[in-house]
Amino acid sequence: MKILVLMKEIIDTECRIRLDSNHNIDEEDIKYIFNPSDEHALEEALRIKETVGGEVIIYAIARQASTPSFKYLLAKGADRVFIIPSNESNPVLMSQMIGNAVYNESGDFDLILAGVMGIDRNNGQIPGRLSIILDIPLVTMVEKIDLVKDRMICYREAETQLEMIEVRLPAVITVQRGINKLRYPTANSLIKNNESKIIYLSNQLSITHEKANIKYAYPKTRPPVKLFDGQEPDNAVRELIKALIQDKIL
Amino acid sequence: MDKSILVIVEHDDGRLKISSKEILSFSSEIAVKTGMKVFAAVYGSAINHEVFEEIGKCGVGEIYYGENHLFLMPNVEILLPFLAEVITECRPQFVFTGNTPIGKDLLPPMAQIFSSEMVSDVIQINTIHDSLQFIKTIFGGKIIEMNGYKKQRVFATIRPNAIGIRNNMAVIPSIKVIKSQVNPPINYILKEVVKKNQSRKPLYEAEIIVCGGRGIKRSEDFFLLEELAGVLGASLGYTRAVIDAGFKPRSLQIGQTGKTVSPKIIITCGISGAIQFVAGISTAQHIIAINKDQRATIFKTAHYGIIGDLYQVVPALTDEFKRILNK
Ligand SMILES: Cc1cc2nc3c(=O)[nH]c(=O)nc-3n(C[C@H](O)[C@H](O)[C@H](O)COP(=O)(O)OP(=O)(O)OC[C@H]3O[C@@H](n4cnc5c(N)ncnc54)[C@H](O)[C@@H]3O)c2cc1C
Repeated sequence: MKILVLMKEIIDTECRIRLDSNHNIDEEDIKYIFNPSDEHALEEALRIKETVGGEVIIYAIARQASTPSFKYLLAKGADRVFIIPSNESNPVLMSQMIGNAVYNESGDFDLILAGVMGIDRNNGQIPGRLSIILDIPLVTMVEKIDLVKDRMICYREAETQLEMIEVRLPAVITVQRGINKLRYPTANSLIKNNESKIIYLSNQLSITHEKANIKYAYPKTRPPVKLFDGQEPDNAVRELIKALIQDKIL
Repeated sequence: MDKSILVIVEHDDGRLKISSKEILSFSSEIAVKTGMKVFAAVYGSAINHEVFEEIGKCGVGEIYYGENHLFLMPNVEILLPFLAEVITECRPQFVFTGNTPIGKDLLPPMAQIFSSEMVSDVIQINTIHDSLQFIKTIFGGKIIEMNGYKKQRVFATIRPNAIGIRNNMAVIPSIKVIKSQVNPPINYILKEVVKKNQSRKPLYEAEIIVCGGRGIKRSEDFFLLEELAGVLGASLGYTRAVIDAGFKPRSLQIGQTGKTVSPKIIITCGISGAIQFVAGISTAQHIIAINKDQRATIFKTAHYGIIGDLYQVVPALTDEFKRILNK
């Protein structure tokens, strides 16, 4: 089975994030991490490969500087990484880049796995867009999958229920954290020289696309909290409710 | 393409969903300001006429109605052809729906069919001259992103409970039934609904939420929060610490990697206020925190706080609410 995994490097929200003098995101002193649910997509791909055999290939749009972190993913057991070097953050253009790359390099894939959403910009658009570009079905928010011949049984979280979906492959499936526990690479696999398995692709796009005019700002600062001392709980609770009524919240 | 807005509507049990009311009434207000037209797209099977009337009450009169028994179990594969047909027919510049489970699934492929931009999880929309600017938060709420558009088509999912319902002049709905061919799904088949969740409102549309964190020590102590939620008619949510401990299902996790919520009131109990948690509640209108540590970072986000032991404060709060709500 040929499984493609979409992995995105994102700015770690624990960093201090600043705007520069042009009101753009200041990339200095910024730490990057892999988008958490994407790591679970990779883990799931590795598990499927261990059961039925095949290949796990990572596709990522990333900075050139990110090679070391991708070596870590190879050490976990991925077979190859295709990097599209770009700092593009527009979902229309990103999906087209990935779509082209997949079409050129892995046209015979069986499954694409990705995380539910990038928690940097909360877009969650790439998997859905890719399902149209590649003309394959999409299943989102999946918590458990079972492979049955050329179909995948997906347990997914819907509005207020858990659904069991049967989807024909190839398909795009997005997974959440609960689906599995991440593995750590062994020390041996970490020191292996596997740089040749990281392949940089060109990111030439032939489409013209009018993007949004984007501006950034800091959020408004919040008013200070009104605190009540809970040493005497009944008292604190009465004071709190009095304040809520005064402020017309109740 | 015309200067107009199409709202994809959600309804449940013959009632319009709150998030749809917000988007419809808001769009109708923008329309008055900018001279745009507003359309609604509804799908279902033999739906209650009240849904159309409620759309009219929000100020939107032109309704495209897709009628098919397959729409009772909607999914992307079934809905895309119908919605693409409506968009092709009414040629809107803007297409809105809620940032709800179905909205999040539907809009990215929809936007891609029209090679268009999309803004996810919008919390505010501004009118600038005769166009619109979409506001959202990024990087865990640390930065605000403003997306401005001139002429191109834009799809947007709008966070429920963020923009509010406006009172508009009611109009009489006129319904255009779209009889598009809907094929039974072949690629994506719902085999079974495995488990229905409890009766509480889903977190994303809850008006009041009681939320618990690691301050609750044992599984059997969660009844304290359940009692408080019961008195307030609130939904329950938890931090990742609680989920990872295996106490509650992952679908109830609030935060950056869980659900984003926007209730009128949220009461956090025994929660430290990590950035990844706070990212999920940044548009809650009133945050009340209970924590025994006065230096807990949650007090930087909260509007009200009680410094104290939740094992004493929560029951006291439950009793006091019971008393003033006469329950
Ligand atoms: C990539 C990433 C994504 C994440 N996503 C999420 C997410 O989506 N949602 C999420 O919640 N977390 C998320 N986290 C985890 C997050 O960083 C915190 O670890 C988590 O939110 C802490 O949960 P907590 O506040 O319940 O626990 P703690 O941080 O342990 O806080 C417990 C609090 O309870 C207080 N307390 C203890 N006993 C009592 C008592 N008797 N009475 C009153 N107060 C008491 C303590 O003073 C303390 O402040 C994420 C982390 C990472 C790295």
